[in-house]
Amino acid sequence: MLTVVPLDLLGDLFGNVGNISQIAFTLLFILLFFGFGQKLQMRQYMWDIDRGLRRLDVIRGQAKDLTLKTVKEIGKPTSDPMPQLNVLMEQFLITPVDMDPSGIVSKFDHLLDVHEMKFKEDVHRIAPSADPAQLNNLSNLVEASWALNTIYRIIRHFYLLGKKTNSIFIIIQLQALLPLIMQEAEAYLGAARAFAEGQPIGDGIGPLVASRLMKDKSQRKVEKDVIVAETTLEDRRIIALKAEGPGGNVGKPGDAIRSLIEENGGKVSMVVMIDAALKFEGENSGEVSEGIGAAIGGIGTERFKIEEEATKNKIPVYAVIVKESILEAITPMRKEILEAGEKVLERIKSLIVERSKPGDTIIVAGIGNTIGIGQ
Amino acid sequence: MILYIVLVLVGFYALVNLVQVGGSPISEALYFVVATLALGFVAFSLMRVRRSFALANPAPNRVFEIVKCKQCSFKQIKNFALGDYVTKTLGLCTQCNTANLFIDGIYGEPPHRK
Ligand SMILES: [Zn+2]
Repeated sequence: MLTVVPLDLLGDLFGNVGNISQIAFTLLFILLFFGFGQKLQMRQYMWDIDRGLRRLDVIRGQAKDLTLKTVKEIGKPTSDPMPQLNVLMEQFLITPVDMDPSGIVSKFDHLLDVHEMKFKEDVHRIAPSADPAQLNNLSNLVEASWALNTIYRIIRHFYLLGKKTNSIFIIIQLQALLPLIMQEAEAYLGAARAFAEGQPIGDGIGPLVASRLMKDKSQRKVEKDVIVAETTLEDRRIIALKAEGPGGNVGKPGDAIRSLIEENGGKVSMVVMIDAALKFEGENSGEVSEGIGAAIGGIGTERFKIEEEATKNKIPVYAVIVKESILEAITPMRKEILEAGEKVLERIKSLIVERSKPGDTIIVAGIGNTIGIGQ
Repeated sequence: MILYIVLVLVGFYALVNLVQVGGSPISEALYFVVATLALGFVAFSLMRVRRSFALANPAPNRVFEIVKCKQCSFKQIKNFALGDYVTKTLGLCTQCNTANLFIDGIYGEPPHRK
């Protein structure tokens, strides 16, 4: 490439040859552009990824520092929690074999139960002074930190792999996904901050609406971490349920709905589920819409239980969802989402007036993480 | 990196040739094309770099809570305090002195909207 310059200087020395050398110079330049174009592009992508990776490293460092600080403040550990925290950061879960999928849901369920129990016990060990609600918040915090650590490890893996194999396809895919990954990482950092302080997140709109229904009613606990209270709405008997707050918790609403239906001998005229749902770009946050089916995220075990029980008893399941972005779902609840709570209550009222008779029993389930929301 | 430096050098070289040496219209046009392409490419790359650096560290959200009274219409918005949660009772209402205040809602606002 550098030969271009002396060639042209020579051209200038020899007068007429100048024009020829200029053309040669241009040709070389064009070759440089087209021949090395892909290389140039790849180099640029690599820089992009490298920068993204560095930012990811910073973000995961911040989340980890925050976790450590909160664990020390709330948990008052007797020894340095760092080594145990590092072990937690690297933990994994091996999903069941799905070659023979029959019965896989209960396997998953069992696996998740064990995972959660062990996780909470591990967190309890590094934070012995935390009360149950704080322990739940800390578990959520460690989990957010874990997610950031995992994202970083995966991206670094593919970056180094792409660099090592010089594979433009790995690099291009990584570069194309990077903006989405960065957005998610920043959302997780926001989530970590909310979990550290115990603030309600956007995903908590379901439990929030349920807690409005439960206000000042007598409450009891069914199944694991789920609180139930009875109230009346438009002359119908409403059984409202949510995960037990105010610690960060999603509970097991599938089990709770199943046992509530069984308790009532299958005489439930409908189940209404309230949840936050991912909006499409361009839609407004806090918009409420309704549909049919079990509105609950996660790996699918809870949804399976609800669908199974509803089908067995021929109970219609309706969903009322509040639209929000992934960022809004795991960072402190935005005002427009909080205000959507009233709209959700109105929707539930019109839904039960249209779809049930006075005196019917209706289950209203507030789905989501109840962090910062009591009952 | 080296590629970019070379491109800048080539671009400037072409530019200098264009301004000082001149020559036939064809060679002038060629120099012009080369200079614009080379310098334009480098400038474009630099802009990309700047844009990704603009993704500055997001500041934490500001979080507020809505405090209401169970009896009267008292309503107050205050800053979130550690340990607070929705439905938590906060002691007697200062306005009617009969019922307890409680936290009706907690919401966050993004630090700065661009
Ligand atoms: Zn009052």
